[in-house]
Amino acid sequence: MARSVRLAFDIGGTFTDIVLDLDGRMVSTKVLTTPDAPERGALEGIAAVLAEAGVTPPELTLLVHGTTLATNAIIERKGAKTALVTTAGFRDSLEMAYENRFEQYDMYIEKPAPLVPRRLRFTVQERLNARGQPLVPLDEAAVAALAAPLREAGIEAVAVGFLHSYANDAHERRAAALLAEALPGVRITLSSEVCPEIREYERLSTAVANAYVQPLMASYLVALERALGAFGVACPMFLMTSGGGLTTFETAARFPIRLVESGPAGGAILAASLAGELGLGRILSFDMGGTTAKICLIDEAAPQKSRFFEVDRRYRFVKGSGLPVRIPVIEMVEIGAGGGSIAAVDATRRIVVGPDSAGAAPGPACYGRGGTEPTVTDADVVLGRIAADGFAGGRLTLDATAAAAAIGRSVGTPLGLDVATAAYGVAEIVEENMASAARVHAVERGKSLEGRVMIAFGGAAPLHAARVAEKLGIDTVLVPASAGVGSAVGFLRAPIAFEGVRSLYLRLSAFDAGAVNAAVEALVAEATAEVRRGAPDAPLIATLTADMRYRGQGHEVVVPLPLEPFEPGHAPTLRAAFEARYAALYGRTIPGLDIEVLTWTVSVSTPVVPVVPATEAGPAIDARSVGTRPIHDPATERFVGVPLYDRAALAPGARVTGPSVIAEAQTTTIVTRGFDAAVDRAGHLRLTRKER
Amino acid sequence: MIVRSQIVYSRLCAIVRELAETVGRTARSRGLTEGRRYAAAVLTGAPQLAAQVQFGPEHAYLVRDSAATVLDRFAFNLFDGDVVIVGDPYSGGSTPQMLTVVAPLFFEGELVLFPAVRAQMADLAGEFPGDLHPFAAETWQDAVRFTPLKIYRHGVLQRDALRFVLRNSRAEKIVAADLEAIVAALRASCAALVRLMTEHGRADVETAVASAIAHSRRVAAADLEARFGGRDETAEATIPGAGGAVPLKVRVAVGPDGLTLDLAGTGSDPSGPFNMTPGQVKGYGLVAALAERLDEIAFNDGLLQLVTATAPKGSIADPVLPAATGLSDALTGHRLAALVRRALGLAERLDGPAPAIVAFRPIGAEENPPVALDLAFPLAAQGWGPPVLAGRRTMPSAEEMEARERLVVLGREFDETGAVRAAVRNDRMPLEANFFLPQAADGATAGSFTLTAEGATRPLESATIVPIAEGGLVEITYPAYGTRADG
Repeated sequence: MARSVRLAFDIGGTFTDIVLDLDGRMVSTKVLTTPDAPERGALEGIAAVLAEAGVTPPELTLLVHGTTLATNAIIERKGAKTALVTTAGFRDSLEMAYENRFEQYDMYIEKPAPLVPRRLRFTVQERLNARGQPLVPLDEAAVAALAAPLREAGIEAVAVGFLHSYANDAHERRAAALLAEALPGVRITLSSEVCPEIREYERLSTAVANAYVQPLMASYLVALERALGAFGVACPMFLMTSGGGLTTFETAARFPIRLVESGPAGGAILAASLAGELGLGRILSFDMGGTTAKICLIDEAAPQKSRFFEVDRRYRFVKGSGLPVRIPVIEMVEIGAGGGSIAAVDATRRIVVGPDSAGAAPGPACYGRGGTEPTVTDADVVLGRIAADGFAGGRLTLDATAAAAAIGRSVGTPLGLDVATAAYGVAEIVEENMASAARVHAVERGKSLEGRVMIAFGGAAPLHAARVAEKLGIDTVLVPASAGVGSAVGFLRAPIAFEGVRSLYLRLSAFDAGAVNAAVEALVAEATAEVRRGAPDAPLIATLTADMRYRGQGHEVVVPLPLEPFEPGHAPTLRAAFEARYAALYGRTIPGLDIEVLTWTVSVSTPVVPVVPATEAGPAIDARSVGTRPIHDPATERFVGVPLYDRAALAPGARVTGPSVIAEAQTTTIVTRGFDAAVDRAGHLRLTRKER
Repeated sequence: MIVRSQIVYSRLCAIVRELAETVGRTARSRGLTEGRRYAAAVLTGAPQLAAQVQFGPEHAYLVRDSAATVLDRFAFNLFDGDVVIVGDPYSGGSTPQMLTVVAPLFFEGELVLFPAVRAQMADLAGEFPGDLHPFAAETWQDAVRFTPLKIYRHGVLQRDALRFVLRNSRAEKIVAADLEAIVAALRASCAALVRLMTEHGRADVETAVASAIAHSRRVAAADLEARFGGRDETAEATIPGAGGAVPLKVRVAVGPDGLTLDLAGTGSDPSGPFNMTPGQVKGYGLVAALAERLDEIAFNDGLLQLVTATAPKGSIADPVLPAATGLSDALTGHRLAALVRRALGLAERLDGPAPAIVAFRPIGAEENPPVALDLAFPLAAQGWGPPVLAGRRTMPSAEEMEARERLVVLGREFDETGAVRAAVRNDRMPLEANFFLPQAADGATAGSFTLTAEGATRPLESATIVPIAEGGLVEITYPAYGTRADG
């Protein structure tokens, strides 16, 4: 039987994670990212992993890649010199946005500068109505006349976005053809292709962002493909998208904006996959790293999807402060709560943690690299949760004195608290922030947290997971094996997928089955063709959702619908589906009020990689501790000596009683007084709430 | 204890945020979903403001003051499951279409904490649909007055009371949907408050709230004292009254206890729509003085306790019934905030009145939901976005407006001065509209209107019942109060 040798690598801002799955055996490493040529660092890491596993490049059977390159290009404004061509009268839509003052009283509110400045935003006469019928013909001469100023400005990419192009793309296509003829080599993005949805600001923003990163990403992908080829890799290669599916290099080069946020998507896919593997119906995925915490609710092993994401938020984690892009993303909440999050006391004498982060440099005070501000990691050191020696696999010895000094100086002294109590306050606040984010995320989606299992991964999550679970009333926490490179592991479990979307505005009182069927058929064909590029023979799964709302409302609800031809009499079926979802979210319906449908979405994917269900644990074995460690006990708010365990030495079936500490190379799991822990057959650590 | 109180108070703030979000997501009128003309709060039994989310500064005092009217009116006649509305400039409110909806909640038999929402309704009678009346002389021309009225008693809908409210609207279905959304959101908040008090204990919750209020007061008072301590200055301007310019004069003094506003010398205008209620006066004064800190300090009663204001009875800062108040937020609030900042020596402007249009079917239609043509915004003095006093509204998408209303936005762009020029064509049906063109501080108009209909183009000032025939084109210039930050 042929070997399965699958490799994934995730290029992040600081580290590149590489994972090799060799017939189920995992080999992984982390290397520093090489920003000048990201593929170089990745290839070095890949070579190291292959060497460790004794595998040659031609033996690879699958390669999956995720990258933050597109996101970084936008944040650092290192994309292509881009122009926008839009309808006369709308030159400033990109800049006006929706005028929302996301920080109400901040007079000097800082918005991200548009990716295209005003001097590079051009308008032409043309206009369609909301049904896509031409009101003003496209002024082709005016489009052609733009070639000269675009050439003169050294434009590398053009976004074309006309009003109502979601309903009829003819004017955009004609303008693109004229520009392409006059400007060979310039990449052109159509708003109707990248985001055929109603609401001009978000559509234009998405088109411009795609155009902005396209030349960079296209060259990068070509270079990467060549480099991998030269290295001897000959297997199918895919890219991870923000929506949690894999796509081909060819599709990615056309829609590179869909690659942002691929890392966190990989984490969510890992959690979903584990849920399927372990038969967990409802989980809360908790990914806490150095800078942020990501929380995602997953039911029946399927993460919830969304079509809205903001890049380059100027006010970190504040909605509305970034550039909106409408792309498929996995629905999650991300907050500024990581190991490096900085703690302080604000003007109102409250402890605040994050969103600012000490990052890797200078890092927390305990790193001894010049950082002086206290962080969550410093608090964890003071509280005994992290040992000063053996951090990061033994590569770093932490300075506990510096951690205590920073906590005392910035938190303890201002509040009149001793260092331990101040550190406890920092930990409690960051844990409460994460619990609060989870609660709000659940409520906003009409979900309950009750009965969920938390899956905790990322370097900092196991340190805080049990306490966050206590706050949320969650009784079971799973800390998976190889959690430190969770996103890359998730890449290997993702299906090949594509999502097509189209705005077709209608009211159910005037339901036009023919128009809907035509739009949905086109979407199925489009999405199928994209997936077939990477999976020519695989069975495919297609699903349909619609963005619906009661007439006049400003917020839509995503409603799953059966993917089958609609009949003229199907309006009541759609109404019932909408009202079931609406009632789940808001606990009521509005009888008699008409319903509007704005947008239709079809997702086509290969089936999720099947997993073999794991049994929970072997026969119970009492684990043997390797010593004791004094840690701060939140229950009693004092230090207690607790057993210390080496996770690598815990065999399946090993049982540990809380409070205790389980240490491993990349992280530490804190088993609080309220929990016991056990290792299952797959090596996952399962924390279970004690009987109350 | 500090940490525990902080955690409990942050949970309470999360409940208020959720209340506000839910109203925005589930309401039906554009005034709430896009205009965000509402606020959400949790109050104590006193009532004190425990926490508040407001999308515009005009609500600062008025949720609490309106709730106080409800508690006063019903005293010992409030029960779990009751829902009470009040919407009256002379019962703790301001502009007439704003209803405050209060859901009393009893925990261990006492009114400990309860939620409330203050929101603008699409139409509540008055002379014209939509409450934009630039010449209103009496409050009833703006809208009907609702003194405290129970629409739920012990959880049971009082159909007669609700019918009375809805029958006083030309947008009955929209008002009904908005009220339903608000009541449902309040019920969810009540449940969340019960969970909070059950989990943490009533005493801890009360301690946390009291502590947060004391903190906000202490921090804001210290900030005022540090920046303006001992300051005592007077500033004045005029308001365009029905019978000519009306003086608006404010003496601003800052002491250890906060901000004192003395509006002696302010004139009266019993026949114009620019009168503001005492709660509005304090609110605009508070925001003017503390804007630089308000995103950092928890918004609760501690802030409200810092401002005292006095004004001559019958003046435009403390009017008497039946003086109209409909345009007080649109103009007088801006002017007062500017005066307070001038008196405090603050150069940065928060104000920036904007032109407004409300369109409706020709008068006489039984169901006549108004449409606010809020196409764009004036440019803030700081060069980006709308002024602070415009609040956190969002601009409608041109495409969505056309798909929904058949009002075709033909453009909205900055001109060379930074002003936004917008144009909309009526492809819908014959309409009428009221126009309000505010006067700038220098007496000139702030912005402009042009109407092109049936072959003729003419400029417009403030006006009522202006016909906009099918195909009619309205062009609006929103003024620039600063220089546009170059994109």
